[in-house]
Amino acid sequence: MSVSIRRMLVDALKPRETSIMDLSRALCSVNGVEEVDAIVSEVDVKTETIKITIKGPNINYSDLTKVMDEYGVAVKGVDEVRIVKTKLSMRLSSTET
Amino acid sequence: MYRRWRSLVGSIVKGFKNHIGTFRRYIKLAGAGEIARRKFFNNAFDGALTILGVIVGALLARDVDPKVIVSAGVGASLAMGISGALGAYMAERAERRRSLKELENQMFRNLDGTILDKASKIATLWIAIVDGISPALAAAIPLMPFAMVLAHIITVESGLIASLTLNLCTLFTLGVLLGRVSHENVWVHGLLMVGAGILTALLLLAFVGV
Repeated sequence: MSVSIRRMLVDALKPRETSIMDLSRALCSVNGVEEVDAIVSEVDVKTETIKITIKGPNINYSDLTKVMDEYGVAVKGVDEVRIVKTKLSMRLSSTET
Repeated sequence: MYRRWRSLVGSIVKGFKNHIGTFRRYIKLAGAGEIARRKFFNNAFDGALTILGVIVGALLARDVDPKVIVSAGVGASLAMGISGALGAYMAERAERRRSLKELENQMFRNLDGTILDKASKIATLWIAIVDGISPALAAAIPLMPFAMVLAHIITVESGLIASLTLNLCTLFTLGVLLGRVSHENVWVHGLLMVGAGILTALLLLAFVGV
């Protein structure tokens, strides 16, 4: 038995130069992520506050933070999270895909 | 064997395309395309007019020595290239570092190693390269006939006429390209650039020719 992250709502700050499309694409290519919804909630002179909803069978959080770090995103906090208990075989099969 | 070669060439081409794609992404992210374009036109115009000045100056001194013109032209364009590249690199780097530091202060995080940092470094280098190469490129075209004179392919008179014509053609092409950038009449822009070249020659005649 193991646990996996199925859904996350991340509140973050990103530079305005970084495109939300590129960032979302990069986040969606992370292992275990199937869907990314990103919304700009606040616009500043140089930065934008974004809310990113990430969904997937087994989200790899460390890979996700690496991508966000590469794109210059500062994570303010994780506002929501959904974690489920999974069998190890199911977890392995989802990471393989 | 053929298949191996084909796959090897294919992977090299793919890798090259990937690098070009990344390079374009960084240039777009750093907003360097517009700056590099501006630097190109500015410095190419400098290069073409400098060579025009060298040729008209030699003509006024009644000593059109191809060896002197080529040496002076190459020397001037090399010096312009080095000064342009180094100056642009230092200025661009300082501006971009300042901008990145301001962003870091607003985001409360270090941005070293991020795509913004990489894009900033690549953009600085690209702008410096464009700044350095453009005057040499614009100067090399009108200097070619004199190189041909040195190789005894054409006479000094033909070289002089060909060089001045090529110089005005370079200026006209630069004007046409500028017209295309601004989505305005390319002929007007081309003729304006040629006019600037003729005006330079006339000013030289008026002040140096006395």
